[in-house]
This record gives sequence, structure tokens and C-alpha cells, in this order.
Amino acid sequence: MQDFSLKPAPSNAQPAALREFLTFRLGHEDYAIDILTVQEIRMFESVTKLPTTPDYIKGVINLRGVIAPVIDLRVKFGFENADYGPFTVLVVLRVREKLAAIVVDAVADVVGLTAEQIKPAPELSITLNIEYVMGLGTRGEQMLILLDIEKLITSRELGIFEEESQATH
Amino acid sequence: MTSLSLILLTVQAPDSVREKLHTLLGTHSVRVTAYVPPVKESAPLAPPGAAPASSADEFGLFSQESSLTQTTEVLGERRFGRRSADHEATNIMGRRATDRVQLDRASIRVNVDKLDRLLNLVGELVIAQSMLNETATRNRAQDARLRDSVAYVGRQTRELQEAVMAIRLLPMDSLFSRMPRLVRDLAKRLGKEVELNAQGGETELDKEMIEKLADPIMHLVRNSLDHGIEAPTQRAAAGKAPVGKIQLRATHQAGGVVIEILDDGAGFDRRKILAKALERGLGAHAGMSDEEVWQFVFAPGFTTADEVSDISGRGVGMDVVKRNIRALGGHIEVRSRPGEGTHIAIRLPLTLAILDGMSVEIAGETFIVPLSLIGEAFLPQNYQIKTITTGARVVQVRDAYLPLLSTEQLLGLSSRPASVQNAIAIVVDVDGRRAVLLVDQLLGQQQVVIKSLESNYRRIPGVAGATVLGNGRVALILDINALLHLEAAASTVQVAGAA
Repeated sequence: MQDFSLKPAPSNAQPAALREFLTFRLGHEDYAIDILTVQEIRMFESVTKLPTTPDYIKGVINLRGVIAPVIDLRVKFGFENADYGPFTVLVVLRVREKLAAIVVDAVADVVGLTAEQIKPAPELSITLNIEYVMGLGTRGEQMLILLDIEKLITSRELGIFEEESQATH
Repeated sequence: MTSLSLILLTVQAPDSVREKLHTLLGTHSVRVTAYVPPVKESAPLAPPGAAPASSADEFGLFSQESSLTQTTEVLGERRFGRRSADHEATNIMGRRATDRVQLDRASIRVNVDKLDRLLNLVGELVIAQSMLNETATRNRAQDARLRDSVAYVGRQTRELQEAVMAIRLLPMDSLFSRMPRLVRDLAKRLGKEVELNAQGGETELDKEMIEKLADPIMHLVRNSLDHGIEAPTQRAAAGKAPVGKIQLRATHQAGGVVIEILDDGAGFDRRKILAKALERGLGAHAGMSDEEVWQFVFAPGFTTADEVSDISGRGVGMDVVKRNIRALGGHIEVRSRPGEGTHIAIRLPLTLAILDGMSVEIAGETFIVPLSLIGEAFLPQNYQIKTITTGARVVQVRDAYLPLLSTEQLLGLSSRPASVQNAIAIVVDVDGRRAVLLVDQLLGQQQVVIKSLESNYRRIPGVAGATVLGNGRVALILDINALLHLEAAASTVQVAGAA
């Protein structure tokens, strides 16, 4: 198991001109997330299933003694194929001091995008997941779907941050 | 020669321990990067052909001696030249003497962060040790010395872990003992008669937690006394004993500590709370469940007291209590019945706690059942299992019928009830409530380090926490108490559906 730890940087230190994104594939689409939320990338490993959780919560893994949930974005976004191959990797994110891993088909690259290269997402998209798309990035011929990963991870439906609002029982 | 290689072998364990400690204490950039992957092939610790293990007696003596040394000098100089034939009794006496000496000595103030890191590293060490143990067991350890060494490392690691854990733990007594005076003084001022009963003072909890719990618990007890317990005349009119009862209870529950404050007072006034909540525009409506209504109590500035006193009713408190408990990673739960009293339970995760658990296999997954809750295990026969009209199943265990927990369904592992065929039944006992759990296999008994699911995810009904197994995988710790509640709720739904 290899860890490619990416150097974490303080989240408020965003360069004005260039933002860096980690790009990865989900199905046939290229997605990108803010590199500052990425803690590390690791090989896909077997997860421990959690009872009574949505199917896109694959379970939990052991991250050096810390238990973190694993979210399969392919299932979350309704992709038909959610197989686990040799390129399937876990991208470990740190969002507001919580750790979570997302399953993606393959990690591609780290790219820098200027503000001009980021276009707003079209409103006409019929997918439900437009909610978590913060824009579209262009890089030559390639179109990158820029995910607002922080919004996704902290969303109510994922339940990771629901504790604060959840009523005790 | 035999004894020399034996010494080298046995000393290896404390060495690795010391190495870890040294790294910990020496540098600040320690990062445990990954677990030691399970060794695929048996890796002999000594060259083949080395002398076989010497008699068990000698080994035992040595390990006793060494454990004494370790206890007294965890971080200090290690001396292992003294291989005297001490008896265990002498060892224990020696240990007690050392304890006394240490009591007399001045204490050292240590930064809590340092302790935390020590605890984390020891936790990792325990996991590494159980990986080693698993490998040795899987290979059936032809090498007797490997087996012995692994067992020795295991003992030492456990002892080290206990010693490190114990640094932070204090009995709840130190907190409970402040309560009788508070209750006595307050009852006198309020003209109420109250009997305070505290249980479970020996339950140990993190020192820091105890300190931070003092205020919230005092507040809750004060509330119970002021708002809960009625005046003797009122109580008599309601047909209750004139002397009210407040009970404090601390228990270990599957990896956490639960502190309960129970009173037999008037309970919460639903009508009054709703009215106040409406008045303050907290989004209340008449159709809310009791549980939802009780939540208003925790709203900032909320009070139902008609008059403000210096004891309570100022509307500051419950929200602070809740915030404090949350800050400790805990939960506060309220149950109340008009006229019967209020039951407040504070659930605190003991993230550092060690649990004696039984690992079991259910539908291909490994789960941990707290050993303290297991009464017995047996192979159930078909005739012992009966289905009652509600669809719930009971198991006949000698002269009692115990409810069968349909764990697989409650945990969503399977939609069909578990088959009795080839299953093993475990009788669990939670505060006198017994039930039967069907598992596919008993995998073995082990100590597990409890990890919180909540730190990165959320609470999951029926799951008390998680742990990392010897193979590096995560296993869930079952919350038997919650499963009992879930089962009860599930059967109620079935009854309602059938009716």
C-alpha cells in the first residue's frame, strides 16, 4: 500500500490567479476537486460495511488508526458501472477537520486553472448532481467538471456533518 | 548458550517498545505511516537451528522479572541482569512497595498532548502486536520460541497499554462525592426532602472529562431538585412518598460511559414547554413528539420557571450543559414522564477505552460483542426457537424464553431471519435484560481499542464504535443495548402492522 501524501496547505491561502485541482475520472467524465481538500491518495482497500447507511457509503476504512467513511461518488452520482479495478483509488479528503475518502475510477493529474478557465455550470443540466458542481474547467480540448467537494461532504444527505443539527433521542 | 539466546529473544519485546517510546519522546515529527503488513511467511526471529526454547518454567520466571522491571522503570533504565528466582508473591510485594514510594514522590506535570500521543502510539503498538499474533497463529508457529516470544510481546504490550491508560483515568467518585453536600444544602433551602443515591462511582473516566463534567452534572442535579422534585405536600397529594429520590448512576456501556441522573419528580411539563417555545418563536407546534418537545429545553435562554431564583430559572444552563457534553464528544438524552420523573442520560464516548470483546462473524462480517455482556453461548436446537404471533422470535434457554435479536435484519445485512442451522447462540445480558444473538462463528476473545465512528462520520444505531483488527481491517462493535431497543421498536411496528 503506497501513500502519496500531498502537502496540506492552510485552506484560506488561496492564490488569487491560479487554483490547483486534482483531476480524476468517474466513468467517462473528468472531474476535478480543490487540491487543498485532498490529504492523500491510496489504493482501494477492502472496506467494512456500515449498517443502515445509503448504498453510496461503502463503509469505513482504517486510516492509520482513525476510522473514516468511504463514499463511492460513482454510486452517489448514479453511474452504471461501479467496479473496482486496479486503477480504482481512494482520495482521502480533509474537510473541516473531518476525514472522508471518496472512491474514484482513476486519479489523473494536478492542474492549475485561472479564473478565466473556469466557466459556470449550465443550468440546463438534468442531473441532480448539478448542486455540487461549482463550474466547468477547460484545459485545451478537455472539459473538467469542478466539484464543490466541501459542499458535498458537508451536505445533509451525506450525514457526515449532521451531528450539529441532529436532535438527540 | 540456550539461556543467552532466550534472553535476547525475550528482551526484544521491551526493546521495540522502548524504541517507540524513544521516537515519541525524542522527536516531534513522529508520524505512524502505516500498519505493519501481515507477514506472509513465517519469519523466524532466531536463525534456524538455534537452540530450542528452554523450559517454560525458566521463561515464566524471566518474564515475571522483566514485567516488574518494566512497571517500575517504564521510561527509565532497564536492568535485566537480575535473574533471581523470585516468587510471584515477592514480585507483587515489590510492586506495591514501589507504588508507595511513587506516591510519596513528587508528581510531574505532563502536557496532555504528550500523553495523547503516547496513548495513540501504544494503541498502534497493540494493533501491530495483534497482527503479529495473528500471523504466528496462522502459521501454527512451528517454532516454539516464536510462539513464546509473541505471547510475551502480547503480555508486555497489554501491560504497557494498561499502564499508559491508567495515567489518565480517575474514578467517578471524585465527582459524585461533591453531590451529597450540594443536594443537602439545596434541599434545605427549597424545603424539599430528597434522598440521593449514587451508583457506579468506581467507573473510571478520563481525568479531563471528569473535570469538565463537574459543572454540567451539578447543574442537572440542581435542576432535578429545583424543577423536578416536588415539595413534600405536593408529593403526598400525588400519592408519592414525601421523600423524593435522585439517583446518579455511572456505567460502562459498550465502549462508553453513561452517566444518568434520574429523579422521581414531576417530570417535564409538555404543555408549559410548548407554550414557552411558541412564545419564543422556536418553531413549535402541537403535533410534535415528546422527544422533540424536550429538545426545546436545550435552546439558549429557555426557561419554564415562573419565577427566577438564584438556583435556577434564569434560562442559562441547559444549552451550556448540552454544549459542554457535545464538546466532550458526548450526547445528552432526555426522557420524561409527567408525574413519574425525568431520566437524563449523558453518553460519553471513551475514545481511549479498551474493551474486552468477543469477535464474532455475522453474515460474513466480523463484529465485536462486549465480553462483559455475554452470559453464555450454546448451539441452539430448532425446538428451542419459537415464533410468537407478533412475528418476533423467542429462544428457550432452560426455563426462560428470551427474545431473539434479529441482528442481521437490524444491521441491514440480510432481509431474512438468520437460520438456526449451524448458528451459535449468545445470551447477552444488559442490566438484567437478556436476549439471544445468533452468530455464525465465534472467532475469539480479544482486547480492542475503541475508535469512534463519530469523529469522522456519525453515530449509527446499533453500533457502539469500531476497532482495528489484527489484519488492519475495521470491525464494528455492536451496541447491544441499542439493538435491544431497535428490536423492541421493530416488533412494535410489526404488531401495529398486524393489527
